[in-house]
Amino acid sequence: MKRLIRPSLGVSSIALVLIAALSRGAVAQTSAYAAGVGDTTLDVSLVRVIDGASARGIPSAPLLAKVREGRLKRANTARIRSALASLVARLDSARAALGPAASTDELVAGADAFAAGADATAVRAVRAASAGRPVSAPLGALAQLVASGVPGPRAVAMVVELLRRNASPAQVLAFGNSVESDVVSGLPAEEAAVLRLHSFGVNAGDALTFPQDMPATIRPGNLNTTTTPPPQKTPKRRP
Amino acid sequence: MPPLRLVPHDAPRQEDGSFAETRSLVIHAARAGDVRAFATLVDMYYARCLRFALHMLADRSDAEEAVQDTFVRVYRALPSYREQDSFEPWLFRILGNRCRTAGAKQRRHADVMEYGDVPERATAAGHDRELAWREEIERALRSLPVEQREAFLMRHVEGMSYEDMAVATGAGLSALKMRVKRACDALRVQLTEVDGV
Amino acid sequence: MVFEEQDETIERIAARLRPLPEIDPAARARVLVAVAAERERDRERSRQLVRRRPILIGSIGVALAAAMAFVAVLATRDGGSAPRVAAAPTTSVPAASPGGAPAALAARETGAGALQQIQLVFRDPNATRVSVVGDFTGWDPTKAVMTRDSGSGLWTATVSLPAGRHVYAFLVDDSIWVRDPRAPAAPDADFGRPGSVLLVGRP
Repeated sequence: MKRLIRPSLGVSSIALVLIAALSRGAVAQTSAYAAGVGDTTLDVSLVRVIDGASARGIPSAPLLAKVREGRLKRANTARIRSALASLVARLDSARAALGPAASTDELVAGADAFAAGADATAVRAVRAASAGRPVSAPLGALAQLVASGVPGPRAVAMVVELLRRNASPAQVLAFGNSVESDVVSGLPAEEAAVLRLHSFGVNAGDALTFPQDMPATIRPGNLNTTTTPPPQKTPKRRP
Repeated sequence: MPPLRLVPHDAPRQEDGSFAETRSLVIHAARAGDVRAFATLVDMYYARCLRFALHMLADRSDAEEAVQDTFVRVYRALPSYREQDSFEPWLFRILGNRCRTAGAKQRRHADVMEYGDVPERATAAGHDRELAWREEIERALRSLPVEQREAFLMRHVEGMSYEDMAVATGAGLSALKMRVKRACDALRVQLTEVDGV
Repeated sequence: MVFEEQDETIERIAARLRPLPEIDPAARARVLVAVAAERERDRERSRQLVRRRPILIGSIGVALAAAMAFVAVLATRDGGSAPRVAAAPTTSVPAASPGGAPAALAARETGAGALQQIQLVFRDPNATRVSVVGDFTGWDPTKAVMTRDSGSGLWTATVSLPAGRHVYAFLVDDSIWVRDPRAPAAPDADFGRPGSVLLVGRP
């Protein structure tokens, strides 16, 4: 027999106050998100996803931007929720790879690298090679290389080599931009990357293997065995 | 919130200018250093340049190299290219020079035809006959003096006017017409006996 | 006197010579590599010169422009001299990231250099409102509303962007999504509405 417990007036009052406070908090949070998204009809299921991520330390700004993007593109709530969940997963992975001190921009760059096809080993390798410097630029370049078709290990080795040579964030980003632009022009990805790397004074051979002084714990295991041989083909003849 | 309409940017688009205008815009951007614009220029002319070079040099590797050199020289020379000038004669002037230079150095090739477009619908017998006919044409073409071969190709294969050919070769109109005539005479003599003509 | 040759024999010979050869993609790529190498040599030479001139970003245009839109993307570094119009056609530009492009890659806090002033130009005489939307505006259509020049009918907006890869599009009359047809497409795996890629910062 189920025992009915009749709460005392005091307990009831506390419960009501708590519920009211929580509701006010939820409403306030929803309102804040809605204001951020610019849509007063923000679905509560989206709020829950953002709240859950925020509770784990994931910044809400990129999540709200994703919701805004979806609303702008007239996606339905289910599709926005799905995109949001994917982004949260990538941000979680980025946080795991980059550490709790990573900035919002670094987490976003890491998530972008994952979206482009990089894996956690690659992101950790770039993090380690950055030696305390902000890592969003090198991760951005990594994402561009991988998305352009440079095999992951090769892309990591190239970015790491640039970092080892103290390339500035602007130079690293310029490298990624140039390769992406060249690939759009029709150049094979690796040839473009090797060519651009050369313009930074890095020979292709320098970036074929992962630096040996990299801690073994973050050294990608397959960097020494590229599946695609490095392009040795150069223009047939200097005009 | 109104429904979102998408401009069908990937659907067939209306032409906003002639081919020449298009080319002019490509050249404009390429001169500004836009590598993608230059890639577009390469795509617009690579096949024609390779066709010419293959007929001039009869060797695929040499032809590709000549075309590559041509585009590098075009890239270098773009700043001095005047847009009021006709582009194709300018391009073929560079290409012709590269082919003449390559031809002068070229070793003699065996009669192996790496290049040949065999009609897909040809029967086996037809295939052989067509291939033999093409080889005869290539052989006859190679037997022509370089100036005549160049003039014949520009006129009858590339469809250039004599005025454009004059720009491309630096020769006078009368000389070019004579070269074409002599080339035609020689080809006719060599090929009228071949089955298939 | 020289007569033009028009006989059947010559025409049949020429017809056999006219088919365009098959193109080896590797050979074409070598051409582009050779040209890119030439450009690098040019840049190396010009690095020794102090330059303060506009930089053309990305967009090279299309011969086949979108029916209603003509878009140009221009850039100046640090508010340099007046930008030039970048306009050149191409027949098709492959997507830069067929496997799904990363979103914003801007390194906002990394010291990746000063913000660059990017002017975006859009032409649609019939539009009543045009906004630039992109990852750099957080996809907020109120952040970069374009203004219309009554004389030319061109809509323009200037945005300050850090070096990196940006994705953008134009929103016309709050209901028409137009991506820049002259810039590489940025595939959108999430919502299926591709934008365009804007690369800020080159060597």
